[in-house]
Amino acid sequence: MPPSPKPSTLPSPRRPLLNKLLLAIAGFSFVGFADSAYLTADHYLALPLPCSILHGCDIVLRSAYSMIGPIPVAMTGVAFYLVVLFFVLYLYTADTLEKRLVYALAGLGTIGFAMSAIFESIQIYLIHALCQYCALSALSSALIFISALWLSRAARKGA
Amino acid sequence: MQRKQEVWVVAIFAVVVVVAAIGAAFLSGNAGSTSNFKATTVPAVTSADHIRGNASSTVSLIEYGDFECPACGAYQPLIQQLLQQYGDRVEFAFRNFPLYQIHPDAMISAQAAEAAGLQGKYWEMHDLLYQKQNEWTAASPDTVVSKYFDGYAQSLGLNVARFDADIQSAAVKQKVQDDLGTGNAAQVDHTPTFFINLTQIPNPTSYAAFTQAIDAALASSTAVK
Repeated sequence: MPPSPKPSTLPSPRRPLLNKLLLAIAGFSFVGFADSAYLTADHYLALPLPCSILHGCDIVLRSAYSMIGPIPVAMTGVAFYLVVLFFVLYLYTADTLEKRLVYALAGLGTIGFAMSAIFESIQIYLIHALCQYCALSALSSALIFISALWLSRAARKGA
Repeated sequence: MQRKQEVWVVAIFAVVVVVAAIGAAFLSGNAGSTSNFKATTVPAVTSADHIRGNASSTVSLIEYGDFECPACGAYQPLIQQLLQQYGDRVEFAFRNFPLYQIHPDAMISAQAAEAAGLQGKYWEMHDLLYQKQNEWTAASPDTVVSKYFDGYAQSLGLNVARFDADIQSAAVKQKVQDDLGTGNAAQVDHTPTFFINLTQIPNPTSYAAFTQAIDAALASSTAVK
C-alpha cells in the first residue's frame, strides 16, 4: 500500500474509534439541536411557559439574558448544533480525515462549551434560577467538547 | 459512496422531522404545559371572589394567577380580549396564587390588589399591576409598596394611607391565604392555571385555543357554574 500523500490526513477506512467518536458527537449535537429548536419555537410560536413552583424556566427564558440583541440565545444554539452536526457528518463521510479539520471541530466544541458555561453561570449567579432545557443543552455541549478533544487526541496519535 | 449518501439523507431527514414535529406541536397548540396536566377541580365562585363579566352566566372561567409571574402578564391581553368577546356570556374570576417560593414580590402584590379591592378598585389595580409588571418586579418586597404600589394607588384615586394599612391587615393576608389554599387543594403548581366550569384546562397556547375551550363550555348543555 502506498503511503498517504498528505501526512496530515488519516487513511480511510479509519480506525473504528474515530468513527465512533464522530457518531457520538453527531448524536450529542442532534440532541442539542432538538432542544434548542424547541426553545426557539417556544420563543416565537407559543405563550410563555407557565411560572412553576418546580423550576425556574420561565424566569430564565424571559430574562434579559435570554436575548443577544434581537436574537434569542436558543437560536444561537440551533445554529451551533447544526454547524457541528453537519461538520461532523462531513468528517465521517470524507475519504480522508484531515487533522486540521479535527482540530477545528475541537475548537468549535470548546467555544460551544465555553458559551454554555457562561450561560449556566448567568443562571446560577445572576438570574438565580435554572432551566432544565438549558441544562440539557449545556450537557450536550459538554459531551461534544469532551468527545471532540478525545477525537483530536486520537487523531494526533493516528488512532 | 452509497453509504455516504445514506448518512447525509438520514441526517437531513432527522433534522427536518425534528423541525416539523416541533412546529406542528406548537402550531396545533399542544406543546408546553400539558405534560403534567391533571384535570383537577376548584370550589365554586362565591361572593368572596373577584368577578367580572356576566356573574349570572352558566359558564365560569377562573384564573389562579401571580402578579409577578411573566406568563400571567403575557396572558393578560388574551384575558382582556376574552372579556370583550365573552363578557356578556361568561363569568371571569381571579384567585391569588402567589408563587412566593420563586417570586419575592408575589405575596405583597396580591395583598396590594386585595387592599385596592377594599376601596372598590380591585380590577383596576389588578390590571395596573400586570401592565406595569416590568416596572415593579425588580424592587424588593420591603420597598415595592412605597416605590411603586402607593403611586399606583394614588393614580387610581385610592386613599393611600388606608391602602398601606390594608395591605398589611390580617383580613387581606387571610384572603390571599384562602385563595392559595383552594389552589393548593386543587394541586395547582403553576401560574396561570385556568379552570372552566371549575375544571382545570391545559393552558391554551393561543387565543383561538382559548375561545375553542370557552365555546365548547358554552355549547355544553351540562355546564355547571
